[in-house]
Amino acid sequence: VSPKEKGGEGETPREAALRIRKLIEESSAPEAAQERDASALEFLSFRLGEETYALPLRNLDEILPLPTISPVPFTPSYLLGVVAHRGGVLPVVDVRPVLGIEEGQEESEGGRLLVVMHGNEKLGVLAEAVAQIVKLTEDSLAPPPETLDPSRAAYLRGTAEAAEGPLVVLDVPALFEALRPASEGP
Amino acid sequence: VSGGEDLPLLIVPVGDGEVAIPLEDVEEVLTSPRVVPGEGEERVEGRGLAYRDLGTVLGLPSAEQPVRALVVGGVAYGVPGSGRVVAARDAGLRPLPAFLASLSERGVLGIASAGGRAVPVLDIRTLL
Repeated sequence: VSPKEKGGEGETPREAALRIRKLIEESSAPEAAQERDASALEFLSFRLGEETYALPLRNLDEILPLPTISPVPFTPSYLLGVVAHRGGVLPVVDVRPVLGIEEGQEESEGGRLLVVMHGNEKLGVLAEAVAQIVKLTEDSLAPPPETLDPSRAAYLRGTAEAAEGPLVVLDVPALFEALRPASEGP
Repeated sequence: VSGGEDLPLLIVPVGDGEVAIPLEDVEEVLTSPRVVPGEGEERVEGRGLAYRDLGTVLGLPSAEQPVRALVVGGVAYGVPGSGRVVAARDAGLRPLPAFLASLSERGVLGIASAGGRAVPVLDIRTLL
């Protein structure tokens, strides 16, 4: 595990967003792909509560400042609502209740909305703070601890030890399916 | 949203956001309704109409003090502020994203855009 880039002290939210966007663009460039270790996967790490979570960079479309979210009737409490985004509509979720995390400081300056992709769908996921991009290999991912609540483990791809501490890696497809509102309502 | 581009939509505040309702579904808009206890349910003073808070009905935060009430199906639904009317063609109507497609069965028709904010469009007669 090796941190690819770290945020600078005194970095403004705008600067942080630009830095992350640049990293995403660089990581998806053909030249960068050739240089990468074929077995390494890149992840964006971010804070939720007291823990650091990560999701695959290939599932990340964009990082936005926290927008004004419009609530939608008949949705579960974790589904905060929708925002107008790039000529479309983006559902926004707070995964903390699903993962059993106590609410933190997403309203602070560091809070961000991660635009996460799965197939043709996009979902806005609240993050209390964006940390950095890390490289992990499949081998470095350990399965979720057996002591973990199974309902929480279902959304996790595994855990890993990064230079800054433990990472909890989210299973994006599982999250999309779990968070999708049922036809019967909340 | 059926009714064509000229369909007027009434956008009203609910909870922390707004919802849009086809104006043709709203029989009347009451200003500063006085809500009084009735037999088994609250009523609008002087009108005899049953009263419900729209936010509560929609599963959203409720209005402590209604500023307006929309009369739909003979029931007054309170909202915490004034509404405004926009033509559907000016409301930037969009279908529900696939992730929320199941909400169409609950009476959420699509999403409008008003003042840069997303606003759910409701088939109020179906969901009430």
